[in-house]
Amino acid sequence: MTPQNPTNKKVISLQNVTKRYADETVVSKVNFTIQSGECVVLVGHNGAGKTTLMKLMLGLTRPTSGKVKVLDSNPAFSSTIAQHRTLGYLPESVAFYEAMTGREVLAFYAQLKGASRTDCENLLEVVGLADAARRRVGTYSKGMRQRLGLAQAMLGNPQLLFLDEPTTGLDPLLRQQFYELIDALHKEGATSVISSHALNEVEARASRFIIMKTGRVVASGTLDELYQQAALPVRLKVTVTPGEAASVADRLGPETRIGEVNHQTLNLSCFNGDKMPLIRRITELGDVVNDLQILPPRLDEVYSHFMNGEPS
Amino acid sequence: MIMLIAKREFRSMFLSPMAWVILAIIQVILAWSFFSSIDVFFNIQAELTTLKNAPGVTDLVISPLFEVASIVLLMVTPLLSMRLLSEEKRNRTISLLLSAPVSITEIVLGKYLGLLFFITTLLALISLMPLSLSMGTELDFYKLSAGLTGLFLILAAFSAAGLYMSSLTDNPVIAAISTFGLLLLLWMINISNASTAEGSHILNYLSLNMHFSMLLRGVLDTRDIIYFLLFISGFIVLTIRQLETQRLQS
Repeated sequence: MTPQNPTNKKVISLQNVTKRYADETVVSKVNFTIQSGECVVLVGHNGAGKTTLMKLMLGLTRPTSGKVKVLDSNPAFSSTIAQHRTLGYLPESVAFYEAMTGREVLAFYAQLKGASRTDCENLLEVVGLADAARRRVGTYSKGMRQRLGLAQAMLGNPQLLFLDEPTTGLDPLLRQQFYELIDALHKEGATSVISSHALNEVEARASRFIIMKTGRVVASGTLDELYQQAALPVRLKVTVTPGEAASVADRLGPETRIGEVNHQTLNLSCFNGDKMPLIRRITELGDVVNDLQILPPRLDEVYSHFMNGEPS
Repeated sequence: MIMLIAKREFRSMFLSPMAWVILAIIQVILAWSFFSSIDVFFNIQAELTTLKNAPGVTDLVISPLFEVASIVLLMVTPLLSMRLLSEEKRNRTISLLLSAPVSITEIVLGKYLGLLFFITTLLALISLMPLSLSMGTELDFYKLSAGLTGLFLILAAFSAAGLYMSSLTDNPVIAAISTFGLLLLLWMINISNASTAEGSHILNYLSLNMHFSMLLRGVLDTRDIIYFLLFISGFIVLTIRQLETQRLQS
């Protein structure tokens, strides 16, 4: 999945949304908007409020205060039921009627959504369940149920997808296939909101991230924006002529933050503003430098930064 | 949408062994009661011929059969209705249903109709017993129809109450026990009624048994029909309200 070009059409808008259960505040003063065509990933620790936020956007629960708008209307109103035809939802722990076969379950949800039987068969094929379609769901493994859940969420070419931990229980190949499916839907203009703990999987795939901590949004933006906000150092890996690493370290001077040095590599780090001057100094070293790799902070590092720091 | 959910519900009942076991047990118990009544009828048949306006086979065999059926089904309906919503909540299948383009009213009516289809099947099987008598004797078809209508209405009322109790919990066993308790209370609410006591007519009016026995006697009174219709719609509306509240406050 690659980030798509979102249009300016606002499909989801949350204004100062708070959700409380008795004395516990699970979502607190959350504000964000999602444009059509975006792939937004919600990240956060367990209990950060990601699932509640999804339920609020689906109209499965009502905010204690604040406004939720999905496709220009309040999803909690029963008058918006017809809109659900254009939504796809995969819950965190997907469950189906155990006594029914995979095909029957999918056909049931397809009929509810007004999707065709051909859609069902195609999706069963796509998620690799065509051979098991005649088996009862009760005999399915966790991964198979998850795949059936994905097929169910994708019924009727949804314009808005809510996927809560969608790749849990899927093997690497199926994860790849899943993201290809999402990518195909995005190319058709779909918008998706994905909640995930698999940061390495979603890093290159999301158009935007919303990082949540104890019910609050602590950071949001594209990966580049998050790097800027976090102000984490950029790492540089310099490969030099064998045996020259120590001398190169000396020549770079004490002002350079040098990490690990071995026979022919040096790991350096610097803040974004110092990156270009450092690169210039490295290139000035001449033929002794064989290679230079610039490693920006990874999403998990950005995530750790925001989770360990104070909300911005 | 309602019919789609109803069909799924009806089908899923037959996918579990419980529905088959319930059908079999009910048939055995009612068949035993039916043959006992026939036996009694044969024993007193000679005396009946001497009586003026003597009760017929409909009064002596069919009405008691329907009465036994109502008591047996008072105990069995909670077992059928217990899983309608509580199991959906316990298994978390309800979240997919609620996120589908279907309203809570449609979900509740679909589930209720699914159970009614099963109840109708059950009733069709029960009615085969009295109908088999028509091969050997004359039946009072008006009284038979009134009795069947009464049995259908009381089962529909049991189901509506069971559906509501099932919406209150995610534990099917608790749903079954509480439905049984509620139905038993409404069945015998007028049992200690001294008829002279203040408000006795209210207890009589609330009693399920009172309205059912009128229909069993062949009295098709619109007040009884309205009572059952109000009872059913009341519990259905309560179920819809309950689910709506749970959905928005969950």
